[in-house]
Amino acid sequence: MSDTLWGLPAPQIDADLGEAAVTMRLDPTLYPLEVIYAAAYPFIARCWVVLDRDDAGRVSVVLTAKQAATAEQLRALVGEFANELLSSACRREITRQNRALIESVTTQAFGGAMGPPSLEELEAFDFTDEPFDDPLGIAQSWEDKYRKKPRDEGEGEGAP
Amino acid sequence: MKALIKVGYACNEHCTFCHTQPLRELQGAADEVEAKIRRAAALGHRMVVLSGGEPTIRPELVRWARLVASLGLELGLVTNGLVLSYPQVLARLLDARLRYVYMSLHAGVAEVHDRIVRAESFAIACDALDRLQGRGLTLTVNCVVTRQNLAHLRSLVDRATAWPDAVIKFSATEPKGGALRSLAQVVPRIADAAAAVLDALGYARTVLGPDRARHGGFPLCLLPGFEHAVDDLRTHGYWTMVEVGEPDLVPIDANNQLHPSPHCDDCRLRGGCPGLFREYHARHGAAELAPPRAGVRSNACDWVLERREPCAPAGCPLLPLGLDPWEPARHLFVREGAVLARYRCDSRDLADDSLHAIKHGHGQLYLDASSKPAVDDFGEDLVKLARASVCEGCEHRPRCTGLFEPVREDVFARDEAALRHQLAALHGAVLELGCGEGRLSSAFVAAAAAGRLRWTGVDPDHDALARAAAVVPGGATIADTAEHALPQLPTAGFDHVVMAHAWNHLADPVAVLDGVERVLRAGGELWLLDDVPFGLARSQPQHRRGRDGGARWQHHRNDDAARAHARLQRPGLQLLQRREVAPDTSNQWLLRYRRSPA
Ligand SMILES: C[S@@+](CC[C@H](N)C(=O)[O-])C[C@H]1O[C@@H](n2cnc3c(N)ncnc32)[C@H](O)[C@@H]1O
Ligand code: SF4
Repeated sequence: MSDTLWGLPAPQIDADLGEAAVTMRLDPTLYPLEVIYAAAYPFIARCWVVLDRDDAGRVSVVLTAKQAATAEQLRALVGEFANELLSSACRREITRQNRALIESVTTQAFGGAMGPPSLEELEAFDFTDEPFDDPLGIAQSWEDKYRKKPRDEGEGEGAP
Repeated sequence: MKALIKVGYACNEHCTFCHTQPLRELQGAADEVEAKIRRAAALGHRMVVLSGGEPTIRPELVRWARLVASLGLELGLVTNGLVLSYPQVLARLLDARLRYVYMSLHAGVAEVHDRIVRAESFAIACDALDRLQGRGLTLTVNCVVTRQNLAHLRSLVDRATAWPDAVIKFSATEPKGGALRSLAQVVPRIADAAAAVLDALGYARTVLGPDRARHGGFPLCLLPGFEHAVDDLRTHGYWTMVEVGEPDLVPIDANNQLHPSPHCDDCRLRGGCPGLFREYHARHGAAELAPPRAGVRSNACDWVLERREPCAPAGCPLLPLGLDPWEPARHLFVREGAVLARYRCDSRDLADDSLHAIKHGHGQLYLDASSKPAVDDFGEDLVKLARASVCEGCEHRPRCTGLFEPVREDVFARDEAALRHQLAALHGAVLELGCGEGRLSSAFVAAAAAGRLRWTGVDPDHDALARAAAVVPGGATIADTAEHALPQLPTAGFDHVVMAHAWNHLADPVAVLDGVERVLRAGGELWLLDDVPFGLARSQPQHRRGRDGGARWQHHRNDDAARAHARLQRPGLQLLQRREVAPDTSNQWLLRYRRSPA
């Protein structure tokens, strides 16, 4: 049963209020699947999340609260989900634009290969000594990462 | 051209075979690396390639990359590639003109690769390779063939279908560092490794298409069908390299490899062939090599003009440049008045030791003064180059590439006049094998006219032979090869047999000698004359003309007098005269033998 009370435009998002669950139906031409996945992900701590496709080709998202929820709380879930959809759509767009930027930087660099760098390029070179981030520890030396640390001297029961 | 700068030997992997394993504790100081980058630029390199150890684990990596770019050079990396999986790092390196990546991956399956590099690297390396696609990079995936991955080479080919920008290279393991320490466990027998590589190269040709897989460090005779797929520092355009702590950039060399003698001496593939690692040969010998390849090969190479600059007309113009970076054989400095010209030979038609013999041993370098694709009149077309007098007694001479200067004397005319003088004194029955159009035969004209000499000329070229016949009136001719003509000639029918420029051209000269011995009377003489290889100092356009001129190779070997004499050890021939080629002669040698009575 569709309920326009949600204040959301029915043709794009359409939500059903059940006992402990809400079902939303989304138009996939507006919200690509990857955006829906990304929007649903933050809910997995609080809800059981099921995605499906209905006969009309719309993607249905069923959020079932893991703990008992009032109608108000279910209504809030739908609002939050709608916001999450928007923000994930935005992130996707930004990534897409950044890719274009990276590609344009690369193209510029290729242009530079044809001859010596221009004055502007020289100015743009940044010689500050900033080591790159290594969040995964990939650049750690093998010895630091894998070598078993020698046992501390004097450790253990038999130590004098 | 590229400079390979080792920045230090620490690494985030620990490959079983790594040749720099004993040096892992040693890191180059940042200012040392930077000075070397600047030196590479000053010497005129176009690319600096950083290697190690693992260059990408250095915190200075991006700064060095920017320094390289700011000097107008391109950047390359020899790397295990793990750090390149960070998109931000890769983007910054590409921004700093990263154009070349030579990346290690030793199998197409994680268990095998990770066991070899002793780290959990495979997924990260594959991720990096994914990210390196579509960047316009010259990308090589280097797989070192050890006992551990011998059976898994095809897996790498399969994996490489996802990396259309990459060329897969299979490298022989050099017994050095880690590979030497664990020789029995790590280094496969070269024949086994080559068989696996041959299989993988063939597989790659079907799966990846042509020219996507190459090899390095394998004797070419063990990789039939892939002789042209050699991949090494030279094919990659490296000029110099420098280890941590070395004071200056030095030319790359292949001194760790050899072509076992006598096995490889006559092999047609020797010029472009890596041969065997010395250390491997010392342990296992050459028994695994396939028979040397017969056939024609080059007998000349071009040293091509790279640069001309003003210099002092006296004194040494090389010392101020620094002596280390210049290749002893492949670079050539020629001073003409107040101009210093620098040439370089990049040919793989002849091996490094042969080029060394041309330049420093036999001293057979000539300035090409012609505009012909192939020189045909040496005296007219060529100006001899000889070591400059300033090099005499110089303390640096043994390690220096040397300064050369033109010699104004026509050594060809001088040496030929001396030879003709000797030949003109002959009398009796003279058989000239391979007389061509009679250039040398004209030396016999006077004796023939006086009735002291009867000349028989043999050559397969009818037209040339007709011209020769016109030179020596009254002579006989046989239009055929020496091999076919000799059996038709009478036993002990000649006092002299002359073979000029035939020895190195004959597919089987020893068989011809059997016939020669038969037709020579006891006490008669065999005259053998031939050329050693020579080098031409040429401008770029001259070099291009020569390369595109389509001259065919005609030499089956490149013997000098000593080598030819070594093959001529037979009881029926006694050496009378041996004239070697030397830096002050033309490129023609002479051997003269007397036929013994029995
Ligand atoms: C010493 S590594 C340095 C770069 C980087 N750490 C890497 O592993 O690619 C340089 C190259 O030499 C190769 N290599 C190391 N030891 C070798 C050996 N004993 N024989 C043949 N190639 C070897 C490596 O696989 C790598 O491609
Ligand atoms: S015989 Fe020697 S030179 Fe010829 S291909 Fe084999 S190893 Fe190379």
